[in-house]
Amino acid sequence: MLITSAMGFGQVKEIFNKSYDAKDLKSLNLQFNGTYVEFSLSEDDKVHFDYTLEFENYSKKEIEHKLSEIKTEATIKDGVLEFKTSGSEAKNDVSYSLETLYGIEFEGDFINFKEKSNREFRKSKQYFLAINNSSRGKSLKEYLKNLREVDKNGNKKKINTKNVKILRTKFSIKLPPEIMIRVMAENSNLVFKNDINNQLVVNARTTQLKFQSIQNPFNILDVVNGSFRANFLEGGTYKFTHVDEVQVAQLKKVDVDTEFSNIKVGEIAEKVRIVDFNSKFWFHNFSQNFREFQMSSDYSEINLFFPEKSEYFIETYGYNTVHYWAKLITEIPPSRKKEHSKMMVIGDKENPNKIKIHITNGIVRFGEDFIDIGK
Amino acid sequence: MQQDIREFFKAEEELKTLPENHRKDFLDKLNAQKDTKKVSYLWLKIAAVAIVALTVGFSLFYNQPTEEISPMIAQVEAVEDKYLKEINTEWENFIAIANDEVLIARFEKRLKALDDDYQIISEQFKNDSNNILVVEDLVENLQTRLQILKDIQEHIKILNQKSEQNEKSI
Amino acid sequence: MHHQHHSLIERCKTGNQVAQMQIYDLYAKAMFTVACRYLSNEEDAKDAMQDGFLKAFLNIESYRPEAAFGAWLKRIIINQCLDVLRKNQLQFNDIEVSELKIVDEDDWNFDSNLTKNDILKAVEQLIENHKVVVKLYLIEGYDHSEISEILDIPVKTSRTHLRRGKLKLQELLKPKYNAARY
Repeated sequence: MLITSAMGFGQVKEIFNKSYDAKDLKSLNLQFNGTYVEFSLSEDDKVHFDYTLEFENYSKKEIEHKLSEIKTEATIKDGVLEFKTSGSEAKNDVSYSLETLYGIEFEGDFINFKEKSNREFRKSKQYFLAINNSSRGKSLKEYLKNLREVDKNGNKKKINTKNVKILRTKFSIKLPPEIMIRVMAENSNLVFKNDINNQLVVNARTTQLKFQSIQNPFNILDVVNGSFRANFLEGGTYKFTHVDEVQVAQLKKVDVDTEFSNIKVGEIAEKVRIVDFNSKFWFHNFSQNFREFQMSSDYSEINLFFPEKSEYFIETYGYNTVHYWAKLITEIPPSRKKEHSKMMVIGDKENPNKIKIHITNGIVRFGEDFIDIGK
Repeated sequence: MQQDIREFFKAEEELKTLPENHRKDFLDKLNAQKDTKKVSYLWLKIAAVAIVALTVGFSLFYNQPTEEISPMIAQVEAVEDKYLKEINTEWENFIAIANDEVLIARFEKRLKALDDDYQIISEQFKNDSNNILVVEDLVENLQTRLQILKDIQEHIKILNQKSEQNEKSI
Repeated sequence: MHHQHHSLIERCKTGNQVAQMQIYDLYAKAMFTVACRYLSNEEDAKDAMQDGFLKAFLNIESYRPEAAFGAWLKRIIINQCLDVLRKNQLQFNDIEVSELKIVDEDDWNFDSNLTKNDILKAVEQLIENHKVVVKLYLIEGYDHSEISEILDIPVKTSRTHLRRGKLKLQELLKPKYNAARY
C-alpha cells in the first residue's frame, strides 16, 4: 500500500464508526460485497469498526452519488453481531478514476506479454513470507506512465494528475482475540494484518484474501475465484475452487480440497492432506519431521522439490500418470479397469517421513534445485 | 560538483557491431522455426487490454457526447464474439481427444458455472457500459474459459505422449 | 519511425519472411547492443538477441500498433537474456527481508568528473543480483513495478537490490581521485 500524496487535500467522509463490547458477543457475522477492508487485532476486548472514504478531485455531486450507493448496517441478535456492507466497488485501498471526453489510450511495451521461463527454481519458505508481505501496488505516477489522453483531434497527450480522481478507502475492523468470526465476502479485498487464532469460518467468492497466520483446528475456509495468500495455515479445512493464485508459506495440520486452482506452497509440515481435481501444484520444501504428506488427485499437475531437511520416502499410486525426474520420463499407462497400482517409489519405505500421492491422469515432476516445464 | 548519472543513459547509445554471418545465422533459425509456428491466443488478450488499458485499481469512464452506439459496446461485442468462437473450437478439440466421461462432465459443469457468472456480468455491463472494471470482468471470464480448455488439452497431450519406458526404483 | 514499420509488421503477422528479415535488419544492431549489456559473451548475446526475434515473430499477433515496436521488442530480448542468466544460476531466492527505510531513492548524484565508462565499469563489478537490477533501472529506465514483473520478484526486493547496488557503486567510485597513482 503506497501513500502517494499527503492526506488533507481530500474530502473525508465517515461511513461507519462504531465499537462494540466483545463480552456481550458470542460471534461476529461479517458480510462484505465490493469492499476493501483491513483487519487487525483489538487491544481492548472491543470490536471496532472504522470506515471512512477520502475523496480527492471529486465534485460534490459525485461524492454524494458514491455515498448513496454504499449501504452499511449492524445489528446484534442473540449475542451475534451482524455487520453488512456493500456498494463501494473499491477493490483496493486506493483507486483512481479518470473521466475523459474522448478516451484514453495505452502506450507502453505491453508488459502483459511475457513468456514464462521454462525453468522454475526451488524457492525458500522465506521467499513466500517475503512475497506475502510485499505488495505490487503501483503509484499514480506508474499508472499514468503508460496512459495518454486523446483530444478531439485524436492527438495524444499526457494525463494531468489533477484530473485523476482518487478514492482512498480506510476501512479498519479491529477484532478481539477470542471471538468466533464468520465472514461472507463477494467481490472484495480483505487484508488481515495480524495473526488470527480465532475460530474462522470464511466464505469468499471472487475476493482477494491476504492473511498472516491462521491457526485454529476448527477453521473452515471456502474460497471460490479470487486469490489467497497466507503465511502459516495451521488447523482446519480449506477449500479452493478455481482460485488462480494460492500462495502459502507453510501448511500444517490441514485438510485441503482443491479444484481448478494454482497452489504454491513454501513448506509442507505435519499432517497435511490434499484432495484435488485438475489443479497445479508447486511444493517447494518439507519441514524436518513432516511425517506423512498425503495427496489424492485426478488430472493434477504436481511439481515437487525433494525434501532437503530429512530423509524421505515417496510413493505414487494410481494410473495414467507421467513422471518427470531430471532426464527420466516414466509413463504409467491408463488402466482399462481403472485399477490403481504402485507407480513410482523413491527412497526407503521404512523412512518415517513419507510422501504418498494417489494420482490418476496426472503429471508429476520432481526436482532437486530446479524443475523444467515444457518441451 | 555533482551530476545525476541517470542522464548518461538517456541519450542514444553507440551501437555494437554484430559478429560476421549473423544474418545468415538468423535466416537459418527463422527457416527452422517456420514449421513450428503455434497459434497464439495472446492477441485476444491484448485486444482486450487495448480496450481496457488498465490494471487493478483504475476505473475509467469514457464520456460520449453524442448518441452513437458507444464504441465501447461495439468493441466489447467484437471481442466477445471472437472469444466465444475460440471457446467453442477449443471445446470441440477437447472432447475430441478426451475419453474420460468424468473429466468431460466436470468440465461441462465448470464451463456452465462460468457461463452463468458471465450472464450476470453481462447484465451489469448493459446497465453500466462505461465501466471499465465490468469490461475487465467480462474479458477475464472469457479468458478463463479459453485458458482452462487449452490447459486440459495440453495436459491430455502430455499424458498421451510416447515415452521411454524407463521405470526405475531408487 | 513508427509509420513506416506498420505495413512491415502487418506482413510479419502473415509470416512473410522477407518482411521479417527487414525488421531484423532494422533492429538487430540496437537489440544486440541491449543484449550485450546483460550477457558478456558476444556469442551468447547474439543468440539471445536472435532467439528474442524468433519469439517476437511467433507472438507478433500480440503486438499492438499503439505501442513502440522497439520497446516491445527490447522487452522480449531482455527477458531472453535473463533466461540465460537464470540458467547460470541467477536467482533471487534468498531474500533478506529488510526494513523499508525511507531513503532518498531519487538521489543518483555522483562526482561530475566521472565518465559514463567509469559508471559502466563499476556496474560490472556488482554482484549478479544487484547488477541486473541496477542495469534495468539505470540503463533501461524501468521502474520498480516493471522490474519486479520482469524478474518475478517482490517490489521490496527490487528496491533493496537497487539501494545496495547504488551504495556499492558509490563505494567503488570514490577512489577516483587516486586513479592517477595506479
